[in-house]
Amino acid sequence: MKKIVLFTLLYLSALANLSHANDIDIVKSESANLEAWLVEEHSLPIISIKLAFKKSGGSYDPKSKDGLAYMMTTLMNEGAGELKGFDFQKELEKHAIHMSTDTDKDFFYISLKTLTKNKDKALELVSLALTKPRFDQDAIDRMKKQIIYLYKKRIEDPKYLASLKWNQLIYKNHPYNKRLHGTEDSINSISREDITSWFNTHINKEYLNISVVGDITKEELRNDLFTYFNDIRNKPETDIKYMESFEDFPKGTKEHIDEDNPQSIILFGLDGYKYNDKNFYPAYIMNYILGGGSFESRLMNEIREKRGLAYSVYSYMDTYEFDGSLKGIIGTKNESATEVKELLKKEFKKMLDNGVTQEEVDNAKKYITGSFALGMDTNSKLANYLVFMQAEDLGVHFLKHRNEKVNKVTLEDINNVIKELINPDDLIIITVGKK
Amino acid sequence: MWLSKIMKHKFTTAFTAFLSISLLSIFLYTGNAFAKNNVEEFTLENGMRVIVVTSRKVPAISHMVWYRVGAIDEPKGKSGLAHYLEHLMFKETVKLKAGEFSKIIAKNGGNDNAFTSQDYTGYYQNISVKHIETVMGLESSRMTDLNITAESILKERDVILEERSMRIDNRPSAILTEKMRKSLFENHPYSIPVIGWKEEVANLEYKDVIDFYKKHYRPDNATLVVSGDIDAKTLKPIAEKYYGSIKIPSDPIATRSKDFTNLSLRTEPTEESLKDSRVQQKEWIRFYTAPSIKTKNKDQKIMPFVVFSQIFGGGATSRIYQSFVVEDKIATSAGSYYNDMSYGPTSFSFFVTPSEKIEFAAIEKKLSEEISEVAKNGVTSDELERAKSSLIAESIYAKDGIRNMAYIYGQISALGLDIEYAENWGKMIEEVSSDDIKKAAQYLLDSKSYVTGKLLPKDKESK
Repeated sequence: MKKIVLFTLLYLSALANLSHANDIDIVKSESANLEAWLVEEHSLPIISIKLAFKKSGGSYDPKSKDGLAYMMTTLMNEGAGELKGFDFQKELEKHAIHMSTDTDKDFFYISLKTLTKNKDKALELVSLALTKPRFDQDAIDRMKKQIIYLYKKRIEDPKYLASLKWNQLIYKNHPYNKRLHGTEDSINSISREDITSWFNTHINKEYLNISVVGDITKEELRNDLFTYFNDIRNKPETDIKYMESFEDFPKGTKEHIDEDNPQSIILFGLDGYKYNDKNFYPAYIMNYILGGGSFESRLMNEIREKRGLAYSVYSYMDTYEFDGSLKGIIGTKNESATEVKELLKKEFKKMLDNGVTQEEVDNAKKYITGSFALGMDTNSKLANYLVFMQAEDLGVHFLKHRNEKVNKVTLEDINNVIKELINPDDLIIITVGKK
Repeated sequence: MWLSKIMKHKFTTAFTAFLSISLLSIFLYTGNAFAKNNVEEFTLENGMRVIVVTSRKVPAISHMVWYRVGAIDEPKGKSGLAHYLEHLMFKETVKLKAGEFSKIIAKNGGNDNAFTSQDYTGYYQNISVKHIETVMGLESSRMTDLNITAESILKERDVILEERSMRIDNRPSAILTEKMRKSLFENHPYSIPVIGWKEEVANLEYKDVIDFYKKHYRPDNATLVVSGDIDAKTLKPIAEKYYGSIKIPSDPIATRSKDFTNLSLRTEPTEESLKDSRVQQKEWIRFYTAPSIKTKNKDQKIMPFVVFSQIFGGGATSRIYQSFVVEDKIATSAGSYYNDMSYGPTSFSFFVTPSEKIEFAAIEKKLSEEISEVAKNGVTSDELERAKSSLIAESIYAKDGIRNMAYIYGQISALGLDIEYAENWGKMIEEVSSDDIKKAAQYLLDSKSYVTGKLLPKDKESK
């Protein structure tokens, strides 16, 4: 559950009009000193579980060990307790348990999906992984090779190159400029000691948020929290400090990366808001109008529909715990790159000079509120959303009030945000392609 | 890699979800432990098939119309036409301006999109069930009242050329697999990419599009699939109102040439390679032609290929991952892929990333040893049990959410299969034996119908 994915989901998605809005229970195990957010859903014999560890994303990787948290995502199913990697994975497969791990700038995640009948086996395996991981040297060596391979695949992708450059330009010495997937050198420098030290620091109850959606009762979950999660370390070996909020967003930088592709990738953006900022929803609606709203958006209309200059044109609010930005990507043939960038600036200027109209705002709200629930139609998607709500401290009633928050935003709120945010001269533009 | 098989209209987010479904070959299975799928089917008087899958979890539906027309049906020299038309279906109609269709859906809180494959073209909206008549009205109208301007057509051609650049020409591995499919399927239309050859797309014209539309977009060549918070009793009257009223054109329906299932394919092995300065890491790929659910002969079984692919190259526990990556360390990744759901012949594919300093020849030798081993000794009962368990579970996981089921039944309908196929899928998987898998492995061993692909870096300064 990378934040980007989450916000695509948010943007794709709502629950108020579609009102099977299930109740969220907070299930507590006093004896294990743990709680989980639960939505019971018994229509299918399946359960999804999402664990999110705060202060554990790639931005917390130790100095010159970029990619360590990411490497941990590959090691969680490589054996625990008596089970070596192959045996652990055979158990998962035999019981059709999906266990996957992920990390972003802020969090480390484990997702679990199981049939009800195999719930205990699923929890037993994840419990082993969270308490007695093996970290066998041969698995570490193998994962290093795979990560380096993936790194090389990633840097074939112009969008990835653009996003690396973005992090460098924006975040400089801030932890958000860490290389989430590492580099060949940083991955090679990671030792087994680094790995166990990461585990002892990050995998603990204090950092853990749990959400569960599916065919399980409150009582079962309460017992399971104790049975399977009580042995997780209570506290970090050494507590990690939250990083500082990022404040110093640069303005107006332009960069070009030379790549021998027929199509240029243009990554653009400027300062934005964090999710918990009062201006987030006004900005979110503004972005829907600008470039978030698919075929309704101005950028799509000007660049693709009117002129046929691109296939993919979109923008989004990219939010993390300690920074937020407005970002977008356009792919256009190299010869049109300059024209597209001019059009982009023109649209930003138009937005700054004239704001948005009431009709645009109304349409945006209709989509944003009406589609909210569509983004939560599976147990896994809802479980993802529940840990997001916990991490952002949104409260257990958020699902019911979210659409009100959107509807309360006024045209004036949005136009004020535009004055604060949208200036074509501030645009940071990174182009990857052939000049 | 096989991404080129299905093209999508707008963004790639939903696109990947679809692919993962076909990747896993997910089907519904109703074993004893689980309730029967709530699937109902009826046919409208004009011949349009309707499939309803009820799931009451959220008050929303996925509404899809599937046309049995895809890239396979394009006239010679007009590659990319089916996909082009799919884009144009969002342009002017008699009632709507270009782009208005999607705007109306968005205003009603829905998402819409479309996809084109070799075999079919589909359009869908995911939306609150209360707007079902709105989407049915819109979707049924554009089956017959498309009214595109020549200007729209020209502009959209540029958009599609950009799409091609993004999907294929910007990505060396996609260029290589496009070349490989061309060699593998030789004279079969599957040798042509769904998005089309650049030069041919650039020359598609107004008349091409309109002729293709009139020929293939008609109720008796389409299936309506609705899944979610609805049942047949509620759907039937409104399906009749919106879709049942569409008249069948007087021309007979275009039928696909039978030969499409078994046109001559490659008979001798060959090789395609690509050296590109953008490539950072060498890769080895092999595509074999293989029978699909539609092209298999009477004595052939398809499910053994599904199970074989799972055991042989379906993840970290698979044969080749264990032997190539874990034990021999001659590769950093190794896997296989097989998709049975195809109107024409399909392919059985292998993807390997050799470790540094390992020659392609060593990979080829090892792969043929591993396939021979299965052909000779079969697989263990433990392997068989694990593979079946995980494949069958996918069919239960697929029931979650509003869209998977619509997609599965749409595909079944587009290939002209009965809905029972989905119901029986799990049973067919259960029946696969080690002997069946031996035969599947032997099929590949005996085959000369394959293409080997080699992706290589070209020297340049490293990044």
